[in-house]
Amino acid sequence: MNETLNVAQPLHHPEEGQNTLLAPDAALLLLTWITFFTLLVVLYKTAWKPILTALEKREAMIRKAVDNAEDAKNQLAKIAETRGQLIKEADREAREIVEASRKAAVEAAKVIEHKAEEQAQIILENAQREIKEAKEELVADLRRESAQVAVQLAEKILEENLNNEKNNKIIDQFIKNL
Amino acid sequence: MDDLKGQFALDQYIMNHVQNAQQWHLPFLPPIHLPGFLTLHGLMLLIATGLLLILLLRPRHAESRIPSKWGNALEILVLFIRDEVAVPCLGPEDGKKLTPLFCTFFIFILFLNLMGMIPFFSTATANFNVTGALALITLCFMIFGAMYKNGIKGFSHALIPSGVPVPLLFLLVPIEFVGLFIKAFALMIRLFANMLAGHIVILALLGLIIILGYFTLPFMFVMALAIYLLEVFVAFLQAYIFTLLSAMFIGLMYHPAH
Repeated sequence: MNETLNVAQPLHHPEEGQNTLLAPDAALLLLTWITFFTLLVVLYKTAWKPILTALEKREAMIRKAVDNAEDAKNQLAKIAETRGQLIKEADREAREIVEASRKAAVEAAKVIEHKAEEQAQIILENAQREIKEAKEELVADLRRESAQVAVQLAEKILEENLNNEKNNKIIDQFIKNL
Repeated sequence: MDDLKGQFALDQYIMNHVQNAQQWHLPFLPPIHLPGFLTLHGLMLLIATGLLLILLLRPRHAESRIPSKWGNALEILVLFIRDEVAVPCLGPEDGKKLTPLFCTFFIFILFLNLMGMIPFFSTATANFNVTGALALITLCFMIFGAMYKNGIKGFSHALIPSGVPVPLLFLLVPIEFVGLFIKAFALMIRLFANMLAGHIVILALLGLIIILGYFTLPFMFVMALAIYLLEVFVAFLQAYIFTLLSAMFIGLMYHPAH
């Protein structure tokens, strides 16, 4: 074990014992700069710049999309509001129409009722008048007949044939006086 | 036991594993010797860069609105850095402008940190030259970026607090000025020490197996595994903290308190 270590060490590190941990090394310093700036320039052109541009583009796109979504939402809200208003208006109109038609119907019914009443009144009056006329005629007829009967009766009783014309005069006078 | 300790120098073993080297050891292969200017940590930087380029340069369907899985993950990263790090610290305008810088900071440091968690790889961010170079970039933005943005006069406002009596300024201005460098220095040390410490703990626990004997292996293995998992978390955390603090420091200079 020790032998392998002892053999390995000089092979491994020929400058053994020489502590170079804090030794300045201008070549390494320069190499660091060269590699770093090479990377910086090449990666700037091929990696960082395209990535940053793509990121910014995407951010702008997302911002725009979010704005658009906001707009769409606002528009949708407006549409919903309009729709609600329209529905309310339509509802109101429908109610008005129903109310108006109900009123019209009630009025029409009233008119019809009124007309019917009037007509009934007319019919009733006509009937009453007809009845009255008939009654009067009937009464006149009755009087006339009863007078004739009375005359005939008196003729029979008196057995005296009187002039028919004279009789009629007497009867008319009699009716007038009645 | 005593002679074991004598022959096995734990500190050397740990140091050799965490410090920079001139060769790369892969299993079952002879060590790869690196050319003079390139060290192991330098190689790790190159590997991380190559890996990132391969992963991130894959053709993306930018036109398509729906990103692919990998693109989606990257997008989450970019979005997080932009909205949680850059914009809160720097405001919407400068934050968006500097987001690519912080994205690169984060993913580069994260990859370097995570590569250190892979066996046979090394942690480049556990080298203060690397973290120092990164912190210097932040410092440059704190100084020159702020000068470019606000002008020399605007920049001086960040150092000279308004409404302070003049004698106090002789004390405050140097403190503010030194504070700039201390902030960057703290950035460097924070990342460096965090990445180094985790590895040292893991290596110490594994080294203790040899010192104390193999019967401790299950216990040490569980402990090392727990630290390893913690280290993975720390790798993410430190990458985030470095990015966030860089953004905060740059933001403080870009928008000095009135």
